[in-house]
Amino acid sequence: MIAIKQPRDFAEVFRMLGELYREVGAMEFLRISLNLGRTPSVAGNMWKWGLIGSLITFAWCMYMEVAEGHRALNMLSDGINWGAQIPTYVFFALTSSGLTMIAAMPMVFGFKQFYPIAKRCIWLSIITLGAGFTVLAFELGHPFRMLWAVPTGLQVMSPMFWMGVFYTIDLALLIIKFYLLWQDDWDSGLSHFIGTASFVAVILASGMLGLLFGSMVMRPMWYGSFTSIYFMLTAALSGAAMIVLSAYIAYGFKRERMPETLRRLASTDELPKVFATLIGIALVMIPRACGPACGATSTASKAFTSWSSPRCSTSRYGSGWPSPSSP
Amino acid sequence: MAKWGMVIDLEKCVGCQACTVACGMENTRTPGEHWQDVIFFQEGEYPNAQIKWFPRPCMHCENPSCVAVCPVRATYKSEDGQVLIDWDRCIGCHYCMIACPYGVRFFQNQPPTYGGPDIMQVFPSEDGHSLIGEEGRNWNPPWRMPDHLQDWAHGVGVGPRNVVTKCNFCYHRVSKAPKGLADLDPQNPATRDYTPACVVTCAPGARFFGDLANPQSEVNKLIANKNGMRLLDHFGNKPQVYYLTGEGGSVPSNRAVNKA
Repeated sequence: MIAIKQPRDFAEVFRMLGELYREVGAMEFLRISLNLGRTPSVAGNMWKWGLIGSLITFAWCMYMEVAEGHRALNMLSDGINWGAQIPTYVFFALTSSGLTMIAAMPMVFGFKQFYPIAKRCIWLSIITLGAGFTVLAFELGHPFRMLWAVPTGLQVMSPMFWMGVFYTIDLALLIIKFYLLWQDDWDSGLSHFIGTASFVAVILASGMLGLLFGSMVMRPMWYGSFTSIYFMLTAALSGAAMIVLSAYIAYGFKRERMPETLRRLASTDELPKVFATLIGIALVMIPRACGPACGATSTASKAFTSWSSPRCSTSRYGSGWPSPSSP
Repeated sequence: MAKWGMVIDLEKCVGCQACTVACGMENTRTPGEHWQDVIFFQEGEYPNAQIKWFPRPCMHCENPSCVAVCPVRATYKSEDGQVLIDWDRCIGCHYCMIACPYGVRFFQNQPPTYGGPDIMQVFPSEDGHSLIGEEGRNWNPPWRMPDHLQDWAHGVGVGPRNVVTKCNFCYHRVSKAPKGLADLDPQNPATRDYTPACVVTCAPGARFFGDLANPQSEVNKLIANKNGMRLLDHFGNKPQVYYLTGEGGSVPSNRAVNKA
């Protein structure tokens, strides 16, 4: 029997996994891995069902990708050229950015009461960013070409180029930061520096993702410098939502199962206040975000009616074009 | 260094779509992938409704937004003023399709727009059509462009899978023209073979192709004398395709069609 102890780095993780494999054999090892432990915990059950769900979804998406191509995902030349995969990518990328922003509250801005969720934030941030990159790779027609074409092209005019640069920096810093937290290095100079750098990188990355849409003057629904701000704010909101949800999922929505520090945070109104503030800001910003683009004023109703206005349609004929009809 | 441009006289255009068909045959495009299209639209309301049409090739802008946004520089402005795509570089991210105000870009991997059989499945390529599709043609119809003209670095011919395609001002024809020509006139047997297919085929002669950098060219004279205008000029893309509107022609960009 191997003593269960907290591993300190990846080498130790793999060594422990290797020892476990040699001890119990392949099938038992697989069962323990799928349960995240010898007896399935709440989180282990969630993980197992999540994994099964992901595999089914992945299989279905791959089938559609092979059998139908991108047409199954509305990635057509007509209408909006960016179909289902781009919003999915943006959701994951912004959630990742938001989780890093939430983690920055204790690690950069010194709100020490949020320390219990910081490590979970960073880990989820790495996972969601990986998920986002994966979706993006499936969206691209030639994902592997990107590896040599982006560095050799070096098109500094393109927001997509900078989005790639900032998100790559972001991912590297996140991994370093997670490693430092693993080593219980919460308070050294390096840890503070990485934390601050990662916060700056994530603001730049989410803002640049907004600019990717916001700089498109020919797409009036998206156009405007405010799109960047809006993306940053909604990133923080979905990051906050993700950490609240996942913290509760991990303990089966039972506060008494949480460790002492996390339970203390969950019993106060600190996190709900952050969440409510972000929801409030996002709600106020919605009309601002689509207002200037469509020439609407600050009232939300006007901004929403402009969605259906033909002048604001994101059809492939751009603004002011009538929709084509057959002769 | 020429700066090829096109002038389309909307007073002469009859909306016959011969240019659309000629372009599709010349460049081996799939149905619905209209590099050159004539867009039909309705103006006014009953009882004063009119049907209008508007020919729309790629504008080959002087300041193309699609070139600026391409993260890999797959789409570029050539020395002679065409906006081209390098199909060996394109990663298929669709960003140029988003950034084009004129909607002239298409994705290779398309379903049949008008229903009916998928023509790419009817004439499948022997060496391509894989999931990743790094090499090999997307499809292989018997009427395709001759193999020696295929030029993926300039976006000419039957393309590979999963890339963005667009009008290239018939690069395979225009690039072979002798240097220093002011106009590529389809009426002149000496230049006819170098003129883009849509200009050659235009039955009412509504299209003119020439060097915008040459003050003596016919296209420059037409633009000056008949007040040539550019489509959606407020976006600052500065198209190199000019429209002569005259009395009867209609450029929909100037007219906000408010259907609400």
